[in-house]
Order: sequence, then C-alpha cells, then structure tokens
Amino acid sequence: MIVAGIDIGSRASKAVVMDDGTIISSVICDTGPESVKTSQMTMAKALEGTGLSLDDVQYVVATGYGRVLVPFASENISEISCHARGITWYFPSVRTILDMGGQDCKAINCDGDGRVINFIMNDKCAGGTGRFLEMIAEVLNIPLAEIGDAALNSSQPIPFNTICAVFAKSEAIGYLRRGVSKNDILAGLNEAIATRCLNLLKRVSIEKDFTITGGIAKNKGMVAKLREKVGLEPLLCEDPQIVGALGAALFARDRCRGIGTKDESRIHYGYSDGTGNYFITIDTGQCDGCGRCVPVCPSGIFEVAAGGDGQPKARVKDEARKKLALLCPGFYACNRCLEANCQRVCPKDAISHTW
Amino acid sequence: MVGEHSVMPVTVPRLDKAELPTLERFREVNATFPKTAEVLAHKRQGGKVFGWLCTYVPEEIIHAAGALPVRITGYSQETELEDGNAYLYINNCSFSRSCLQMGLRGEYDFLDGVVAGSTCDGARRLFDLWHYYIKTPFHHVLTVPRKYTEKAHALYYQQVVQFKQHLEEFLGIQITDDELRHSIEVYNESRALLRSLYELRKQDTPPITGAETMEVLDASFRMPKELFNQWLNDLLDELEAQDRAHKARARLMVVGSVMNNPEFIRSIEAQGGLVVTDELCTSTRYWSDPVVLDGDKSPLEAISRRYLNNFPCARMVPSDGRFGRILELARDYRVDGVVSQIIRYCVTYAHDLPLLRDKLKAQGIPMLALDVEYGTSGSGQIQTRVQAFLEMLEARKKG
Repeated sequence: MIVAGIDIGSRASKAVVMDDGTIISSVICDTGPESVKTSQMTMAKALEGTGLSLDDVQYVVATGYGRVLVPFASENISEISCHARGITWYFPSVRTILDMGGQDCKAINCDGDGRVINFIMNDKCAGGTGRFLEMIAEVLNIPLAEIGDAALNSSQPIPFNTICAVFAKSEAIGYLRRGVSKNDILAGLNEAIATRCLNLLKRVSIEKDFTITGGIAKNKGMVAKLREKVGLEPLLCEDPQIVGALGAALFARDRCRGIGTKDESRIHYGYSDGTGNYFITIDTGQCDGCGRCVPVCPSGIFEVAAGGDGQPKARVKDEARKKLALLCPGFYACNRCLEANCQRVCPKDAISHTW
Repeated sequence: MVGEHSVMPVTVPRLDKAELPTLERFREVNATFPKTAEVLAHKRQGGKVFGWLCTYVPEEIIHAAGALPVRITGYSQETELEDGNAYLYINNCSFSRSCLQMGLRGEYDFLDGVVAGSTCDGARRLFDLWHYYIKTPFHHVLTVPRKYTEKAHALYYQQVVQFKQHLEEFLGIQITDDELRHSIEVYNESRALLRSLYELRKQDTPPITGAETMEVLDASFRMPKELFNQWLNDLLDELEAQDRAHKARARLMVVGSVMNNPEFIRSIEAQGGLVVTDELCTSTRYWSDPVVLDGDKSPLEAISRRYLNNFPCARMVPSDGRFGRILELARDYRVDGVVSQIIRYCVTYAHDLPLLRDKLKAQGIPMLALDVEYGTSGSGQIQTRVQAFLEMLEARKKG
C-alpha cells in the first residue's frame, strides 16, 4: 500500500512516500511563491527514482501552512497533529515536542500513540524562527548550514536585548562593526531564541522525553542551547525536518486501513485564492442524482453523471471547476436574488457552498 | 480517491439555507448598524436614542424613559484604527479604539446620549474621550463596585438612582415605578426568549449554529426590544417548523473578552466544530439573569441588585462566581472543548485565564487560548490552531 504525506511549510516543502511500514523516499524542497506548483514539484521529486507515479499513491495527506492548496491531496490535517504523529514513528516515548519551523514555533505535548494532548504556538511575531536565522546568516555572511557549528565555537555569547527580527538585525550589524566575533553574535542570538522557546514550552508542560523537530533542529548550536535551557537531553531523529510530512504519511496509511476514516462521500470542487475560499461540496452519500440543481443554476455549472459507484450523481462540470468563483456568484448572493437555486432545490440537502 | 476533486478545501461549512426568513431580517439589522431602519424610524418619530457601553448599565431605565437603548460596538472586522490610535494610546484594547474611531467618524452621530460603567480602563477611557471629542448631548458614567458586599450594593444602588435622576433631568420627565415595571417585563421576556433559543443548542444536533446565534444576539442590542421579542418568537417558530440539524466534530464553548463577530464563530464552525454555548458579555452574560421583582422591593432596587449580581465580568472579585457558571454551562451544553479569545490588553480576562484553565482541566475539558484583536474573523494562524484543537478533541473522543 503506497501512501504519501506532504508538508508545505512557509520556507521548505517536504514529502514522504511510504510503502506500508517503510519510508521509500523523502525530499525537502524550497517553497516557491505558488503553493500548488510547489506541491506538484515536491511530490514529483519524491516519486523520482521510485518507479512510482502519483496514480500509484493511494492516499495523500497534506499538512503545513500550504495544506489547503495541494490539488492531489485527499485530506488535510494540521501540522500540529502531524508532528505529534510523525515523532512517535521514531520515539514513542516522546511527550514534549518543540517544533521549530520557518515562520512559527510550536510546543506540543503528546501521548504514546502520537495524539496531541496540549499545544501552543507563537503569536503574530515570527522573531526567533527559521526565517529569522536565515536573515542573520545572511547579515553575518555565513552559510546557513554552518551557523550551528559557528555558534558552538563562541567563547563569550553577546547578550541580545531583543529577538524582534528588525531590531536584532540592526543590533547584530552594530556588533559586527565593533569587531565582535560572529560566533559570539550567533551564540547570543541562539541564547535569546532558546529562552523564548523555553517560555513556550513552559506554557504546555515539559515532560520526558523531549524532542526538537523542524528545520532548526538541525542547527547544533541551537540544540545545545536548548539542551542547556530545558535541562533535558533532546532525542533527535535522523531528519527532524521531515517529521511533519512523515506524520501526514502515517495518517494517510491509517486512512487506507480504515482508521479514523474521513467522510469519503463528500466531494469538494473549487479552490482558494487571495480573496477567499471558493468550494462547492456535494455529498454523494446523500445525492440521488435527481438533477434538480442542473436547470436552476444561473451559470449552468452542474451536470449529472455516473459516480464512483456507478449511480448517477450531481457534479460540477469539468470546465467550471477552475473558474468557479467567476461563474457561481456564491450561495449568499445567489439566494438573495433567485427563488430557486441549487442549495434550495436539493431535496437531499447535499450541496453546500463556502461563500 | 486521488484526483476526484481539484483542491481540498480548508472549510466545508454547511451553509444555512434561506429557510429562516427571520434570521435574514436580523442580518439586515446588523448589516445596516449603527444606522438601522429601526433606529432611524425611532429618531424620525422624535424618539431619543442612547448608546450604552457595558453590561453593567441598566438598560431598563433608558427604556422606561421612552428612549431606545443601543449597544455601542466597534467595527465588525479587524480594521486599521488610525483615528482610534491617535486618541487612545495603544495599550487600550482594540475594542475601545474601534468604538472610538466609529464615534469620531460620525457613525454614531444620531445618539442623544452615551452611558458607560466604570468597569475597566478600556471602557472608562473610551467614555472620557467620547465625552471630550464627540460631544454627544448626554453623558453618564456609573461607578460599578467590584465586590458583592452590602456596602457595594448600597453604592451601586445610589449610582442607579443618580443615573435615573440625571436622565429625568435631561429629558424633563419623571420615570414612574409602573414604567420601570413594564420595562422589566419587556426585558425579562427577551431574556426568557433567548434562553429558549439557547435551550435548542443543548440538543445533539442543534438546529442553529453559533454564528447564527451571534447574529441574533447582535440584533438584540440594535433594535427596540418589543420588536426584537416579536421577531425572536418568529424565529423560534421557524426553527421548530424546520428540520435543521447541525452535526459537529466537537461541541465548543467560546469564552473571553467582548466579542460580537459572527464571522469569528463561523470560521471555527467552517472547520467542523460547533459552538453550542459561550460566556461572553454579548450573550450569556447579557441575558442569563432576569430582574426579579419580589416582595416590597422597588423596581429600582430590583434592577440594581440584578445588574450588580449579574453573570459576572472577569473584573468582579472573587472570580469563583464566574468560573462556577462557566463550568455549569460546559456541563449543561456537554462541551468537548473551550475556545478562549482574549483581546490584547484585556487584562481582567487575561489574568483570570490560567485559573480558568486549571478549573476546566480538573473537569477534563481542554482549552484553546487565542490572543486576538477586536473584530478578528480568524486569520490563517488562528485557523491552524482551531484545526489542530479539533483534531485533538476528536482523538480524545476516540480514546
């Protein structure tokens, strides 16, 4: 049984392909400006060399900040649940997770089955996240992969007053000009970020075992500081960055085994863009293919065709799916002017709109 | 499974059909607020309209004076608060800044008066600036004690008496006990009707969503109570006649700072959670307790006792009264999880939060704590948290 998990993060996109109990492949790519393209590219790369195509993948779960924009996913699950699920693959004993991502930081408590018990996420401010470290690496002109080791070589960390991305940057530049060593600047910043993470962890509960996931977990300097602050030896898995995607893949495997099955009868047509979510959902479990929705739609977007089980079901025409928001005025607007519309005439209550 | 649909949505709400014409009428009131048809009609007939700011302002007195009380609220979405920020320092909550900005921009220019309670700094500073810059003809602020001692009751009673006198002077009228009794009746009827609406939400599959309920509540502050009662009666009939049933991934309760934005609740419900009850000054804290007229108590005494002993705001001490009522609601409405939303700088609620979290935890009810600004309708960050919270609650249920 081939399943996949894809994690579209704010900075990096990760995919894991699994065959039953083994990881066949995993990749990490940069997240581009277009989530849909990024997801397709990441998945293609993950399948490269496996001899598999997307059609061979039975179930895909998407997670991460771009999770709603993965066209080939069967379901999306929040990254918080996925990290908890993913880490138990490596360490079932983990109870406290610090996920340090590109634009946010999360502290999660979970049980031995990877179920979330409590979690907290940083607020609007992205100071002290992956993006912040990238920026500092740029200012200091050190490759991102080396900043961890550089910080470990510090003899006297510089105390930073702020981890506001804007102010910390100017503070760092100031220190550079005064000839302070880059190692000490990095160690100081790590110290400030670790303190902030500790505060986040304190708001859930810090229990053994402790782990760090996300891209920053690969930064040795940061891990060392966190070990010191938290007072626990973090269990680090082989690649902490793919834990979210792995969790998603494990959820996909669960679904294929019929665990926590999602309501498969609901089919969603549409997309999200900058202006909102535009989805029409047809509950094929309810729809009996009566076709009353077909003539009443002012834009004629419905048709009746044989569904998966061979029974006639309403569906949105192929050509309408990519421009749904342009064709359909949305239920709220439509209902104001038209006596009869798809939702109202449906005797089975099988159609709904998100706008 | 794969490829059947082009993109998975984050939201698949069951949209309400237009089977509830009365709900549409309530929506119309909210869409046109502050200058609703009802307010304008009242003004045209020479009636006075008074804005009130806090649930510790006894509305019955304004009603008994023949005037129309409307609740002052801010923008219905998170807005740039340029004017608000220019006059109120930003460590005042965004609710007070949002209301002030609407006032400064003339959206409440039809008001004949503004009445506030000295309940928190946000409300207090908002009232001061309103008084100074917006110059509504009548201003009154009631001192509201934080305790429930006999002295506190005596003080608050005096405040209510003074408010009535001030209003009588301003309008050149006398408010009689009979008029007060009548107003109490009208308001109690409204409270009883809202209770009936909430009773429906105790069902396994309630016929009304949390967002829809918030739309009804919003309208309740924005139109004459008699008319509101009539409409709410209609709505209850329609709900009974319809076969509506909302299933939920989890039954939720919203608690925290002042919040009257149905879109915020809708964004939670769009992910499959159903808000079945709440602890908000715009809802349960507004309607739960009737004014009890008994024995030889004067109507004014009855009003003052009710308002001070109302379902308390987090400002009141001790907090146990409020916590007890939250737990009671959570039990009665069979709540799976609590969503706390606290506006930045709303210190009374923020300070009570850890205590409340522990009380809920002891009952096995998890809480999701969100820091928000007034008017928020649920950003991506909030949606991720809500989704994770719902997933967590579902996993718990499966145990």
